[in-house]
Amino acid sequence: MGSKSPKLRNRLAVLLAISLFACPLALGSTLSVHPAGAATPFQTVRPQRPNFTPAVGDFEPIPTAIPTLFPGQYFEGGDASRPIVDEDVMEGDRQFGFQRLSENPELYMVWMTDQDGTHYMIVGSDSDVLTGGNDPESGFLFLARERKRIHADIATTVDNRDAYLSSATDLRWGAIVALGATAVCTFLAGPLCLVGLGLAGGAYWASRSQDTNAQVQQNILEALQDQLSDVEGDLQFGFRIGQATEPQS
Amino acid sequence: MQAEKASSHRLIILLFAILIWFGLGSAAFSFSLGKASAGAIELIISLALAAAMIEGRIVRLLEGRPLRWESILPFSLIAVVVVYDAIQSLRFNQTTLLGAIYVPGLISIVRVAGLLLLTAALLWELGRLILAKA
Repeated sequence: MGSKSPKLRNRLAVLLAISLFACPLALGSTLSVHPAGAATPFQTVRPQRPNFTPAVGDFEPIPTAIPTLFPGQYFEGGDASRPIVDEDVMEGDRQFGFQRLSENPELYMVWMTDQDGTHYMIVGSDSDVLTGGNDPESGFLFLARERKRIHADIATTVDNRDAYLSSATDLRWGAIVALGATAVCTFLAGPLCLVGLGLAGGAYWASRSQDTNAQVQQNILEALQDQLSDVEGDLQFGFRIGQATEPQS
Repeated sequence: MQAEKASSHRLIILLFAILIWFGLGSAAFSFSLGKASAGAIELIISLALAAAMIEGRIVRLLEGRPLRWESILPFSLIAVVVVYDAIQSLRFNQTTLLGAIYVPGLISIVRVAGLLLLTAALLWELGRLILAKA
């Protein structure tokens, strides 16, 4: 190896010197370097606002997602994300009813109660669940108001029945007072006092006519309770049909 | 004879107790329905009867007197009227109305339960008295 000519060594030195410049120029287009990596050491990303200095513990607010209500949306009673039932605007009561949503006046929330609790559903203002479609008497608009009317009728009928019962009880109390007085009088004065039985009998018969009136009211009450049960059944049925048919978007 | 007189005493006390309980129950029922004037009248009469029983003059008047056979009839009829009243008034399914507790219904049950107990005691005492006389 020591016999190599200086001419060959000089040629190799010139080739190396040229290749130091020629290789980067030739491979520059194919072997690129990431500009950010080139600009910053250790491959860190350059900040968007290089002059921003965040304070310790000061974070920008993170926007929360606003829940979107849509027809067909369903909630259980304990669901915190469901719209609030507003007693000022609702129709019906907390068991069965509906209300227009303040978030979107085109939407209504309907609800019904069964053995599993209260269930809520969002429907459009033209939904069959609400309007009843071809049968308006099957929609929440009609049935919730009908239920309210039956409630009022039941309260009135109970008042009437109890008024008759109260009168009947008072008359029976009178009958017992008359019988007690008759008993005491008979104790003291003998059988002559038994005429007091007539007084007691009169009060007793008067009480029976009041009982008849109370029974009539009781019969009306039972019919109303049957009606109420039917209406609540229709509301539950309409709700379940709505769950199956209401378009979800 | 002594037992018969003691039994008469208890009978008259029970009669007063039935009248007072009946009146107080009716007053409470009327108040719960919002009929204040009717309730007040019933309450005043009941309190007057209670005062008469506690004062004791009527009870002493009858003390020591043996029961006449004729008195058994009105006493028995009192029991009949109370039982009839219980049948007409007692409705166990009326303790709630439209999902809320119905106070008049509860008052009716308590009133009738007390009356039936007192009437059972009255009939028991009447039976003992009849046996003692017989």
